[in-house]
Amino acid sequence: MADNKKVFSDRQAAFLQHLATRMVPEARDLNAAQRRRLRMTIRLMLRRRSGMERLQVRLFLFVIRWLPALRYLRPFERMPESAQDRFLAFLEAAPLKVIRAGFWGLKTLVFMGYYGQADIAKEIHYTPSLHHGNEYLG
Amino acid sequence: MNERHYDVLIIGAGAGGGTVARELAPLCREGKRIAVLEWGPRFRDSEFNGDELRMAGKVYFASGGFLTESRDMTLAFGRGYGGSTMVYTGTSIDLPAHVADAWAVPGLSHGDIAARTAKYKAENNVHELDDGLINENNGLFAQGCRALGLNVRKFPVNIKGCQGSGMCNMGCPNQAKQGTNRVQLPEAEAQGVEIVTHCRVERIGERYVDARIEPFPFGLPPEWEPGPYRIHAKVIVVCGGAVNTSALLLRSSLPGRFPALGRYFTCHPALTLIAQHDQPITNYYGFPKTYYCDDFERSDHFILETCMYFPFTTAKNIATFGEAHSAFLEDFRKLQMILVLAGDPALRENRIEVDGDGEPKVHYNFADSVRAGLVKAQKVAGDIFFAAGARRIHLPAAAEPMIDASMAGDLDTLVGDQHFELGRIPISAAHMMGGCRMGTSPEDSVTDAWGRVHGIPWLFCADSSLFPKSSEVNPYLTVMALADRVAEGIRMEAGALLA
Ligand SMILES: Cc1cc2nc3c(=O)[nH]c(=O)nc-3n(C[C@H](O)[C@H](O)[C@H](O)COP(=O)(O)OP(=O)(O)OC[C@H]3O[C@@H](n4cnc5c(N)ncnc54)[C@H](O)[C@@H]3O)c2cc1C
Ligand code: SF4
Repeated sequence: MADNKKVFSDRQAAFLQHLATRMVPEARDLNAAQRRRLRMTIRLMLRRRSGMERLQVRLFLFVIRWLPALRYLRPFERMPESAQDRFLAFLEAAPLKVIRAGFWGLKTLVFMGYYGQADIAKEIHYTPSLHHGNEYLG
Repeated sequence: MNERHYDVLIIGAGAGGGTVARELAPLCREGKRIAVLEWGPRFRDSEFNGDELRMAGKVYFASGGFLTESRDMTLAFGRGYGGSTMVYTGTSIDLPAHVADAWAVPGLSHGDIAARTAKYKAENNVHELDDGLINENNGLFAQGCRALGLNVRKFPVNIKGCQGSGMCNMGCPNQAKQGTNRVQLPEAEAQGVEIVTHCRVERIGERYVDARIEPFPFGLPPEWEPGPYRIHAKVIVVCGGAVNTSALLLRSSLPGRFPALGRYFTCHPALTLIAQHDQPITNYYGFPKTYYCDDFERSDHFILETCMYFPFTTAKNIATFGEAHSAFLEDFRKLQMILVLAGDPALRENRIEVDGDGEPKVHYNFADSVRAGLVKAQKVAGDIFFAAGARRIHLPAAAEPMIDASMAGDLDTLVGDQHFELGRIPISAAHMMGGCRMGTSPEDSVTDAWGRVHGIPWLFCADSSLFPKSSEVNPYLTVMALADRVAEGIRMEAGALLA
């Protein structure tokens, strides 16, 4: 099992947090505890994956951060927001399947970190009842 | 190395293993020693708490997201006392006669499977849900189908005392689903079968297995001390589920040649389709899966079912991100969901292999018929959603995945194979089948029609790995029926096998 540092560097974690706000705009409004939970969830999930898969995620993050620099001469997070979204949309529907699948994997990690939080579930009105669900049927 | 001796070892405590354990349990009265070795733990009832991420990490392999090698589909299969029956929804469907005929296994008739299925339907309290317990997510599906002239059918389900938590796929917090963890395994234990949990079987040798007890930090503690074990037995029955049974046999040095081992894997690739209504509906309250439509099963190889998932699972099933994604999820109560299951052909190249560490790898290519079925199914589901009054729908294989009601008439042009981009579209599967298929020749099968591995008289498979082709319908009852048959075969030969 890898330790926390090996999953992500602090810089990568900060970049992932930035990406999260592009994928889920509401992630901008997370409080400090929620942000921490988002990162922890992603770290935990990656620690359960193989070293190779962790490496692939880190590599993918690097590519997202620096590939657009060829055109914009600055890293992803300092590009105009609309250009950031266009680049992510390009990755999502990229001609190469391996890129589409990589993007889906990354998106899944972000959604897990965000929508996996109990208080976020409440915010979107997901409030199931463990033992009395049938009582809510009209 | 600790040593143990048994007459019969059953590997895996899921639909197949639980059935075999209960069916062989009467042999314990004659002094035979039977053990079930289960990789996962036995959960306390209170542990099924509905926490989506934590539960997924506990009750599933790979948290329910086992990726195929081509990274375009995730597979979900359970681990623990009850196996996938702990996390299944409990819809209980008979194997159609035409499917049994297409399986064409000499000696295995549809009548045989149907009779055994009937026994488990009775045992597992299979019945249709009362109308008063049907929520609007389900009701709207029925309404939409009827408006389009489609036949909608009620699922027979195996629940008793359901409280409508909607948590079936995370383990039932009310012990209502009648899985093998609730019915067959406790009966087997009462008759003297030992269940050993936290026990991963690493390989099979000549009438023994090497296993390791490695406790998980959840569930009840293991029955045996942690460490390596060599466990001897006269008969070994492998019931690890299609992926793990194939992997276990592949990493064991079995005597003989098995060119079909791990091959002809099928899994009913599935898409979750989602609609948004103007008003909240009851969706996550109540039993999640009541209706299905199989009008297209024979012609286009797909069935449509109701479903309702949890926030993260739902989020990852939406093939977009950003504002559009968030707008769809802003009020979960407005969502309606349909699950599409494709009946996939058993192709030799779709297979389970093991890597250098003996871990399973699944190679899966989408057949043209599966792609075509999943594309057409999205159009049909879209029509159903709009006929039920949805404001907006999400179809992943569309030019733009979010489609407004104003475009309802354009689904034929919006949805098409050209937009079916693997890797972008979230495809998952929970019905793993094949890998040790039944048949007559070792060239294209692994076991005979009684689950005995070709050429190895003491080794049997009794789980979903036996399916020669996909079941085209929800498979658990057929798994139990086949396992029942394997157990009967062993009982009939018990005198010689267990002497
Ligand atoms: C989320 C979900 C929903 C489903 N819903 C339905 C439904 O509504 N209706 C339906 O008909 N079907 C449903 N299914 C499918 C059904 O549950 C399976 O087809 C069935 O349980 C397969 O039975 P099995 O015995 O082959 O494997 P499983 O039930 O998966 O059991 C295999 C067991 O073997 C254990 N094991 C594996 N390898 C080893 C090893 N090396 N050593 C020790 N133990 C091992 C595993 O931990 C597991 O407990 C669903 C499945 C899932 C995942
Ligand atoms: S909906 Fe019913 S059967 Fe499903 S988990 Fe809840 S109580 Fe159990």
